[in-house]
Amino acid sequence: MKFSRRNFIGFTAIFAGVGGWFFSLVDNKSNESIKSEYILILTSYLDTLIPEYGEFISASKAGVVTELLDKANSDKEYSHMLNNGCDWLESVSQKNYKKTFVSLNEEQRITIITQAENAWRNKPSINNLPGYFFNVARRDGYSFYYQNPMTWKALNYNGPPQPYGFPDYES
Amino acid sequence: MKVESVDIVIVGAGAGGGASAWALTKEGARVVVLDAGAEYIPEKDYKLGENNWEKNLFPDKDPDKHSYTFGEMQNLENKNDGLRSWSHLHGQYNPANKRLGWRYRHVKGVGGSTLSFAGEAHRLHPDSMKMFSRFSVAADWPVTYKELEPYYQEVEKIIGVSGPVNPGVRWRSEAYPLPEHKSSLASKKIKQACESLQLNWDKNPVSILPKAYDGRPGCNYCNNCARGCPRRDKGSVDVTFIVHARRTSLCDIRSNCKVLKLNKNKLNKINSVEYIDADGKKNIINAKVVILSAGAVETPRLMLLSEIGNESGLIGKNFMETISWNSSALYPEQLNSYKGIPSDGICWNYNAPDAIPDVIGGARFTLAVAASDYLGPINYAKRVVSGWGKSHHKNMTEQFGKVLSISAIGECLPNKNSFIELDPVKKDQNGLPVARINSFITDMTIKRLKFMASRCRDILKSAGVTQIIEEYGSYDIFNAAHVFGTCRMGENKNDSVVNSYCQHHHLNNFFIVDASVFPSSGGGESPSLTIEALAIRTARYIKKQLDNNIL
Repeated sequence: MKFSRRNFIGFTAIFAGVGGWFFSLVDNKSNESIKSEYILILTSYLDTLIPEYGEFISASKAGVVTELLDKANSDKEYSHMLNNGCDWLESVSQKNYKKTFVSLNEEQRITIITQAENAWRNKPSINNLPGYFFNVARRDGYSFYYQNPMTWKALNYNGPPQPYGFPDYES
Repeated sequence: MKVESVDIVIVGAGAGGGASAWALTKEGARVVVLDAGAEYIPEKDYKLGENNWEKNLFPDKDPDKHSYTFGEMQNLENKNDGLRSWSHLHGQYNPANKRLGWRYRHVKGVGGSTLSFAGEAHRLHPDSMKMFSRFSVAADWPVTYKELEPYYQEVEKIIGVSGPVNPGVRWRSEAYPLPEHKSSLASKKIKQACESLQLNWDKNPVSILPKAYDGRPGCNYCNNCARGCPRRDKGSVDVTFIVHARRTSLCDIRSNCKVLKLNKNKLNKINSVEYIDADGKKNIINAKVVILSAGAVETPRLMLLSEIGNESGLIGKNFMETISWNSSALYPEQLNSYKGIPSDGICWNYNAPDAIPDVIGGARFTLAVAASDYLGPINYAKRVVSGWGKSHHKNMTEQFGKVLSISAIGECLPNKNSFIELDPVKKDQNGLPVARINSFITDMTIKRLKFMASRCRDILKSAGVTQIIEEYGSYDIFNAAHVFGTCRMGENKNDSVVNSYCQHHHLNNFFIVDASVFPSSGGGESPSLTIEALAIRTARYIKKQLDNNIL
């Protein structure tokens, strides 16, 4: 079994899924990018997961959408997963509210995302599209979000670690 | 094929090889050092000033860094479920009923694993060097603490060790070269907790500079030693021993040179070393003396590949690993625990080999926020704070900087099921078998681990934490950086590979200088200081032998 090379938390990959192999089985040869109509859905989804709140800026303002799209451009399996995830969001939205996902109000979007979160909780598997999509978006979303220094202000975090370090470490 | 002849070849530029190179060149010997890995330029390679710093750990340059495999791991038992690794957000890290071989953390490169170490500079507990005489386990060291002490002192001056005024049982002939660091807020909380449990919380000796020393600046307490120190204030081998060795102009360091084989002649000497250089060309280097310092996995592998020096049958046997436990929790008040140095405090109360009730072999406890990598917002967002949306933001505000972690590292005793061998299937980039790590956790180790886990929880509870959020340890996951014992040292050639000067019992111009010679692991001490002390002692011996035309 091969494991993440990056970090101890790569253990989460064992069940939280960075594998992506399932999606490679689905479509490993196409040169797929995110469908243009899904970019707004992805933006709305990420801004609901990571919204503007107090001093926190939204995911899209922190550049998370751009980062995810960049990653999708260089990783067709990832791109395929995002497309399928957006497709799922849109289909549930149409089914439940007869509206496109981007036109839903916040409460409605939260309801759908909670459905995906619960799907992951009940079956943490890469074969579980809504759950896997939720888990990857959350994991990668926060990773990209908190690499933007604009997000650090809300935490009173004076990083990065260098060149200044933390000479005030005693307090 | 290029062929050349030199006096001394050192294979590996880590703690053992780097210290050997310094000690030999200081005495006027000329050495060539071959390292399989790259050179690292701290200011350029360690990107702690970039916004995405947290997403990357040590920037390992070795494309073949996972060139080892694991043998069959043991089954796990329900009665030991309290030792399973888990997270409050992600559940069990190893949900299987079999132990998981995850990683051997070893850096190939000029400086070796000291490039990513946390700077701990420990002397061994003198009592832990007589494990066979006292407890009929492992083997006795053929060298005493008293004999090593002057070399410890010398190493501490070279790498710049900061330590406490009171050295405890590790008596010293001189004070530490540098004063102790002030404690972080997190460390102060652990100290209070230990005191309430009648435990001591001492300053941890570290090769991290509290002030400028030897042309290097003082630390600025970013806590990210494991990602590589861009300031050079951590005393890794590349910025200490290697720098000084190079200044002699007698030290030729060749990075990205992978040794394929050590050749033995009819006179029972290692007369040449074959390697592939950075350009992919094969070379042969003839030498009067060969020093092997590749660590307790790669050193036996190279000897087994070369079919040399296994008269005792002990090459690769007696493998000992890092036995560790780590508990992390949330503290109710702000600690800014991502600031400081990785482990400024240490509890030695259980470090002596008979200090843990009904257990042979000790353990030590240290602050472990950095070791657990709770050093930035990304890890908090993914590992500490649950949920998403506004509640996640709110909880990030409340919890960021409040993780308090403590770890224990304990003695590992050799057993017949823990050993290194050549993998029968997997090959490295050069088509040679990789090392296969066979690891087995004994009942005694499980008892020690249970004690370590229990004390970690006690200390955190006594500190006043609100919730333990993550724990992991060696019971269900192999995750070792400190490994030992696979070319054991001893006086008797039937039950050891090298003598007290790390000289092979049968190949008298061949020396092994790394933790593979350790007869026992110690009670959790970090090994680099002892490796470096042994290396200097061995180097002096080699120089004397060369000067007297004995080698």
